[in-house]
Amino acid sequence: MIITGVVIAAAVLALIFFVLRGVGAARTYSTLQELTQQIEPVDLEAFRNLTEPSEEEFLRSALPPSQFRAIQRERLRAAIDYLGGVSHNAALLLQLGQAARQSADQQVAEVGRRVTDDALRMRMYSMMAIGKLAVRYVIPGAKLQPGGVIDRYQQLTSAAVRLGKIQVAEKKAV
Amino acid sequence: MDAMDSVTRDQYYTAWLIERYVSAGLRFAVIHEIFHHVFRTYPALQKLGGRIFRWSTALLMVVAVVLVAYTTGTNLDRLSVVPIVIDRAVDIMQVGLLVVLLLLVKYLRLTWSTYALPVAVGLGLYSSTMLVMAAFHAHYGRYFEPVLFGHIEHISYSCSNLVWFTALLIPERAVQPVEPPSAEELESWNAALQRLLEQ
Repeated sequence: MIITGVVIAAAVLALIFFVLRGVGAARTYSTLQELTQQIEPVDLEAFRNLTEPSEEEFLRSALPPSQFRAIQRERLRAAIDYLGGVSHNAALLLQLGQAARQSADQQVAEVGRRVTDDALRMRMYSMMAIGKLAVRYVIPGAKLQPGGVIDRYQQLTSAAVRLGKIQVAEKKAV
Repeated sequence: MDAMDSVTRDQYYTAWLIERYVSAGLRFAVIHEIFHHVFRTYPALQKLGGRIFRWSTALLMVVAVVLVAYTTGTNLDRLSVVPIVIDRAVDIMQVGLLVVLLLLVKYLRLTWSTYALPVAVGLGLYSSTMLVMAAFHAHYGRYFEPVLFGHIEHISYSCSNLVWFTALLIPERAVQPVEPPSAEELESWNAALQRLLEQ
């Protein structure tokens, strides 16, 4: 009976989810100014320190095991918060890229497509990285590193800056 | 066939089973098509969409088999077991796939075409209702509350049809021309991104 109850509860939750998804709409920001205000600052250097294996090894060797586990959990929680910020900013850039994809200007549309692709990859990547850190939070001994996030994030923001620059140049020319 | 004297009980049962399998197969095909449709405009996700569909299907199949294997029914006869087991496994997989798809689209903030979302939502409504009923059938037997469950199935199917036909009546969304931002807005956007880059 327990498994039947679980299946019924899951199916009812799914039913509610489908109804809500059918009537609800995703939040979108209409102006660029609104988007800019939503950008969350992310300290990449601090994130790098929190996820650096050598830092972790140093703490492991310098602290008693119980204290190390407590501190490591705090560090992982902070790293997950930073990744949340990265993911949030990628979602904003995704919206910017999707808007630029529709531009009549070929160059703007092309860079918009690139920003969209990079932002999507970043969203996927940050989701996987958060998953890895969550596993490490539960199992502190697990060897999982969210590598490559910083490089990809910088690549994405560079592409978005390039898009902005092209658009500014065009605006000024007009 | 139900009303034809020339059709035997076994023939009716076989035809009914075939109808269930074909219907389940078609629903999987529709879900696969929605996955393909949603991801096709995003080159970065084209391969990923197919991969997520395959892995989710495999994972949900394992979940369905485990759930079915560990469920103890009280009123199951030999004739009821096969369709009940298959119905429930298929419904678990279909509901799971649609939930995965909707969550992924929501998380990645992808845009739906006018028809893809209603098709997914309508199918999800129907599949999750069928899953609830399949779970009750698995526990209490195929003939548990047949009239009530028959009505529920019809209402659920009608609601799904309503969602699909309403979507068909809504004109396809035209591509909205994006209001070009002002140079000042773009400058401040660039400055914000530059600050991010320099951190």
